[in-house]
Amino acid sequence: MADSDANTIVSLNNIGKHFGKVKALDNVSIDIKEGEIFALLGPSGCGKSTLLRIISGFENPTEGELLLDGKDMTRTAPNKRPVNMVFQSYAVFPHMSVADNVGYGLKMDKLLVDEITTRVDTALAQVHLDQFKHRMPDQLSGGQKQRVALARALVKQPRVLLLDEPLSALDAKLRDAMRLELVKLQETVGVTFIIVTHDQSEALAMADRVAVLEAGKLRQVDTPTALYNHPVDAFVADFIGKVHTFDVQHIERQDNHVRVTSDELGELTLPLNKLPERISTGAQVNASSVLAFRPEALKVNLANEPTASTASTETNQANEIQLPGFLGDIAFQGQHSIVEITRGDKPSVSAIVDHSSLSALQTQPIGTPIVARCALSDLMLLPAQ
Amino acid sequence: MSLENYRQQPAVFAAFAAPTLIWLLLFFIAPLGIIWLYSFGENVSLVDIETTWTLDNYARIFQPEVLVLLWRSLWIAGISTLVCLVIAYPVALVIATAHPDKKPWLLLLIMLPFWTNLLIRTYALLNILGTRGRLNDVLGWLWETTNTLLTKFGLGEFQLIGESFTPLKFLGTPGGVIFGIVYVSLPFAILPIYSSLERLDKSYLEASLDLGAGQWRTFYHVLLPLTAAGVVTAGIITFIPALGQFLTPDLLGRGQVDMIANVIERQFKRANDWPFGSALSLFLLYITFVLLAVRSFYDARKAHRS
Ligand SMILES: Nc1ncnc2c1ncn2[C@@H]1O[C@H](COP(=O)(O)OP(=O)(O)O)[C@@H](O)[C@H]1O
Ligand SMILES: [Mg+2]
Repeated sequence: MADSDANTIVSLNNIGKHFGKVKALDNVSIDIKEGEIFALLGPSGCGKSTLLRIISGFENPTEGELLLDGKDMTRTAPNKRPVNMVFQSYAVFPHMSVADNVGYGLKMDKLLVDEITTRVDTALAQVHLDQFKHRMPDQLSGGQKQRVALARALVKQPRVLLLDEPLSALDAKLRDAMRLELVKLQETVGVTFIIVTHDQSEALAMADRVAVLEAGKLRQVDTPTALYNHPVDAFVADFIGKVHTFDVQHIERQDNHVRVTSDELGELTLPLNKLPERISTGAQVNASSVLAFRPEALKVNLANEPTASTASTETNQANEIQLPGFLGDIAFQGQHSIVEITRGDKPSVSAIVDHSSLSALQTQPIGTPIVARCALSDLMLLPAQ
Repeated sequence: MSLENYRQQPAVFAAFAAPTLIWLLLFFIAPLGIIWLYSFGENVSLVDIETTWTLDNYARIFQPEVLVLLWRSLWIAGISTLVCLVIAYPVALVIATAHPDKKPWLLLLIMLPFWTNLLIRTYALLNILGTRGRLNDVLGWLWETTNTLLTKFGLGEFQLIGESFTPLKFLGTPGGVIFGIVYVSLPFAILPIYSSLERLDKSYLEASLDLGAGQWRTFYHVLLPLTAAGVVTAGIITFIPALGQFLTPDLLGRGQVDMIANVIERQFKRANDWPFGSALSLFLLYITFVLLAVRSFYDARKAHRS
């Protein structure tokens, strides 16, 4: 894929990696742009770290090529690449002081002592560790060690900074603070960040673009909002936030829409332009698909309560689906609440409801008949795999 | 029942510990005590020793003939230890980085010599190191080959490598003894280094490479310092037995490279001077204690830092 545009900094072209019989990566192609925060997201064992290690040079891909700034670096030694890594375990050298750790890479580059000192000081100030210069690593907390690892990598002014699960070892409160701080730091230094994470909220909150990997295969590369609103398949939809899915028995493609038959939701007509490429181009029509919606797409009313839509005409009714059920638990979440809708022997669904809609439900006993509605425009038809 | 529970079960603990304690008392503490008493004693007849609390035996250690031997023991043990460490580190590194399937076999290979009696192994070394031994056979063959090559290239008449091959003398030289000590101590040096390499988090090495260091500088700045504890252990575990080596200098040294243990043996046998032999033995023990104290000081300082 030579057609990567000018500001592409890392090109992964058809990367494959086998460990013996294990296929850790399978034909992965991604272009990462200069100056962005790019997240590699996927469940544990999907090959994220392996991909990061291929970029840093600690693994050689079995197939494919890696371009850095347009230059082929597939087999270049790690110490000859203009990238630096913040390791998951931080790997702060225990026998060196904070300053020596941060200065290590500059010393290896044979810089003058004076320049090393100045740059180390700047880097330590950037991560707010100026006071800890002379400490040994065993006198630092986990979060501080991570800052040392960050400063140590950034001080080398890499073209790309690689971070393997940078927040996973921190406690919840520190994690949220560090999220913000990493984004701010990236804005300050302007270096391209590639962050590996298995936490979708982390990826969505921090990254400009996210690649979703599953079992060594690339599922989708997109901005967080596009991933959330237009997932390419059920896996991505489920991995990026919560989603309810319903089996589809039949799909029929017509001129500019598809007719979908589902045992549970009945027969529906969906416009083509809102569907993932694989379905809208017809590639997926006969394979198994699912209908899906997110909890916040549901509106909940008491069953006997007249609403604008129930009272309206038939055409309006065709614009939404209805799921009758019974009021289950209500979980208060601050801004909103999560209402569980039990549906007898069918799997229950949950709806995210704001305070104004909640008041009518709150007074009702558990088991009160209710109806959940979802607008057709909020419904997603997705390939199951 | 956890191991700590022995405190609540003194009777059970005593029952289990008693055989070991009695064994230690009878065959280690008691003989050592006797030797200790002897070291302050004097020969009153051919077989009787009277403990007179004299310090003469210790004073005799500091006569020149003994000091020479002590000094030789120290440097032979020291050089043997250094040679051992230099060989052991790469070997341990190879095992630690080998494929997980191969590791047990490589470790077995290291342990294999232990399955043969030390005496037999040392006699085998005699066969190898002798003037007409296998090592000289190989060296002789190398000389012949080089000589043939040189002649072929018309350099024969310059006699660059001598007129004929003279077998090297290994037996009865410090070199031979060091060779023997290195040979028997090598597994003991490899294992502690291997275990410290095995415990090391590999991402330290990757971090060093990532930051621009090559393999050599990573070795010097990161790998070696982080496995120093294993190297120190390997050094001590090699040096202490090497210092008290008796069989190797006796057989490979041909009585010309005596170490302190050979002198001690002579006191108990031919010289029949048990008090002096005892004092020498204990002196060796004190050196060991000092070394171990240095080691635990090193450990304590490290523990204090963290
Ligand atoms: N050095 C290795 N040897 C063998 N298998 C490996 C090695 N590294 C990773 N794997 C395998 O490759 C797959 C992907 O691993 P990894 O990239 O670490 O996943 P992630 O970081 O997404 O959790 C896993 O199945 C893992 O067991
Ligand atoms: Mg990982």
